[in-house]
Amino acid sequence: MKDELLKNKSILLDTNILIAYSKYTNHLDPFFSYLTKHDSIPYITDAISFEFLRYSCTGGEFKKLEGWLLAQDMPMIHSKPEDVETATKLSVMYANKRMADKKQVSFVDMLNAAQLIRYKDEIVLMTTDIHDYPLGIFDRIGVQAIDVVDQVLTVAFIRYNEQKYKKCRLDVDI
Amino acid sequence: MKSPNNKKKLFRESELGNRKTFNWSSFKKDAKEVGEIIRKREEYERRAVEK
Repeated sequence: MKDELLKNKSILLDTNILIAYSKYTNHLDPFFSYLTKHDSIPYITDAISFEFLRYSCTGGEFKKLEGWLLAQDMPMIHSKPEDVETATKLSVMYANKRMADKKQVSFVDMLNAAQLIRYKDEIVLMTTDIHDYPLGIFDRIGVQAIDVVDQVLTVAFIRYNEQKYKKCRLDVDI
Repeated sequence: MKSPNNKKKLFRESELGNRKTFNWSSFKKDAKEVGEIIRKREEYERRAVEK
């Protein structure tokens, strides 16, 4: 991956990155060190926190997961009414253009997409699920393969492409 | 792992661009314990699907 792509970048961490890091810490740690060296700043959203914290089944587990997130002191982006509106329209665009390979993309993923749109080129998303962010609207600006022994994780960096989005909205008339 | 301080709330809004540095190695602390919770939940869900 080209170094300048992530230099001083605000990086929105998808839930699957938090999950992958906690499960394969030693394998992902070198790449996280690379992000420190490049002054990349991680962000989460309220929806990503929700999706992560619901992995807990007891109050004790909830406190541990919440404590771990709090300890990182990551800046958090909150959903705005316009994000929900964008997410809703995006879901129609995905369906119209057959852009998602699942029956329905999750609401959290659609909100992530809406927040990428709101912040334009100020933020990129780091995710292991490239299918939720189709190339009909987004660009994949970098991909890093990480061998975690029982599988190879594909970590992708996704950026909103305004031209693609506008064209798609025009096509779908939404 | 310490319980979260009541005064420090997770769901507080931040402005984009205020932070200039971040040490990503901070994720390492207690990650193993978090990973165990995640694996346990995934195993529970896998079994639920099999039933």
